[in-house]
Amino acid sequence: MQLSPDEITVWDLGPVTLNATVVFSWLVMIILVGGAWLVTRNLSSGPRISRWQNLLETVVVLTRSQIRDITQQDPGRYMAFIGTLFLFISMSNLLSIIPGYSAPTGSLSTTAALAICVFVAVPVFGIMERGVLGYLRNYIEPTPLMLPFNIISELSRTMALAVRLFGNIMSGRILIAILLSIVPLLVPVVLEILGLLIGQIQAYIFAVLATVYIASATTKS
Amino acid sequence: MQIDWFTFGAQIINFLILVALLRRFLYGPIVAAMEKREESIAAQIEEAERERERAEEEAETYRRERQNIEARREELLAEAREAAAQRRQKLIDEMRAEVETQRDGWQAAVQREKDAFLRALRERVGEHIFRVIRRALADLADVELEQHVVDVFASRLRSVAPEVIETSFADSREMVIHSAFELSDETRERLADILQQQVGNHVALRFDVNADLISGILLKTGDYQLGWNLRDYLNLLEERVVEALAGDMPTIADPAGPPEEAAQPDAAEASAQ
Repeated sequence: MQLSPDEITVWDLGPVTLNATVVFSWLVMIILVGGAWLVTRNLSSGPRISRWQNLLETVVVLTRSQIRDITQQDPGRYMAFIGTLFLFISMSNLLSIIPGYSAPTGSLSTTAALAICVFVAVPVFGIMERGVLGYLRNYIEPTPLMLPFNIISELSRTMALAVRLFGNIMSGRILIAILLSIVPLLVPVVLEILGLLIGQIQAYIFAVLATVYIASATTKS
Repeated sequence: MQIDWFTFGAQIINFLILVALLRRFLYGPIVAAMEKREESIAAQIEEAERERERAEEEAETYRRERQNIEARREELLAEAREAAAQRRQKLIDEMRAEVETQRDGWQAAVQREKDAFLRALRERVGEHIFRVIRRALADLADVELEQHVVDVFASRLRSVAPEVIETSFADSREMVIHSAFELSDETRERLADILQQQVGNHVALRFDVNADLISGILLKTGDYQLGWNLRDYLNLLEERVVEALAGDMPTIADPAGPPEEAAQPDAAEASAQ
C-alpha cells in the first residue's frame, strides 16, 4: 500500500519518472480548463444564461465576494491565484470518488508546491501593492523585535499549509484503505462521504488562509 | 513519506499553467460577461428611469391641460349662463315694453272711442233736442224756430250794457255774426240796425254760416262774444253725460272735462246771461 501517489510510477523515462501525482494533476487541469473552455465558448451577457454558465458565475461571484470580505480590497488581482488554488484542490479531492484515482493533494510534493506558491505569492502581491519597503516594513511591525518571529511565522505557516492539506487527504485515504480490510461494507462509504466533505473543507481552508496571508501583506497595519 | 523534488517542481509549473489557463478561459470571460450584463442591466434601469421621468412629465402635462380645459369649460359655462340671464332679462324688458305700448295704445283707443262716442252723442242729442224743440215750438206757436232764435239774439243785443259797448264795441272795426243757418236779408238788415243803434256809428258787419253752433247765432268782435245757441245747452248736457260715464268708467275719466268747455269760458259766461 502506497502512502503517496508519488510512489506510483506511470511512465519511466530514465532520469525522469512520470508518477501518478503529475498525471492526475494533468487530468484535473484538463477537466477544469476543458470545462471552462466549453462553457465560456458561448457566454451570454443577456438575462438568459445556461446552467453551466450559471454554475461558473456562482463560483466566480462567491470567490470574489469571499476575497473581498477578507481583504477588504478589489478582488480582481487575487482572483486568478486564489480561485485556482480552490478549484484545483477542490476538484482533486472531488475526483477521489472515482476508483483508481488518487488525489494529487494526497502527495506532500503537491501540497508543498502549492504552499511554496503561496509563500512566493504573498511578498509578490505585497510588493505590488505597497512597494518593497512598504512590504518589508511588515516584518518589523509593531516592533523590530518581532522580526525573527515574523520570519519564523512566515516559514512555519507555509509548512503548516502544506502538511495540513497533505495530512487530511492522506489520512482519509489510509483510513478508508484500513477500514476496507476490516469492514468492507457500508462503513467505508460513510467515510468516503466524510472524506469528500473534508476535501472540500480543506480546499476552502487552504484558499482562505492564502487569502488571509495575502491580505496581511497588502494591507497597511 | 518524503518530497519528490521532480514532482514538486512539476506541480509548481502545473499550478502556474493552470492559473494562466483558468484566467484565460474562466475568470476573464465570466467576469467580462457579468460586467457586461451588469452594465446592460444598469443601462436598462437607467432607461427605465428616464422613461418613467418622461412618463411623469407627460402625465403632469396632461394633468395641467385637463385642468386648463376644466377651467375653460367653467368659464364658458359661466359666460353662457351670464348671456342667458342677460337675454332673458332683455326678453322680459322687451315684453314689458311691448305690453306697455299695447296698453297705451289700447287706452288711447278707448279714449278715442270715448271721445267719438261723446261727440256722436252730443251731435245726436243736439239734433234731437233741436228737432224736439223745433217741433214743440212749431206746434206751440207756429213760428219758425230760427225766427225765435233771431228774436232772442236781437233782444240780447239790445240789452247789452252801455259800458260793455264802450269798451268792446267802440274800437272794433269789424264785427262778424256767425249763425247755424242762412239768415234772410230782412233779418240781416234788422240785426245791422240794432247794432247801429247800440254802437252809434257805422260798423262793418259780416255774416258767416257756421254749422258748429247748432241752430244758434253769435256776434263776435275782438275778444267779445254775444249770442245764443244750443251748443251751450249741449255742453251742459255733455258735462252731465260725461259725469255719468265717469261713474261707470273711472279709469278713462278725463278730469279736464270736454275741451270745448275749457276753450271757450267766455262764451259760456256770456251765454249764461
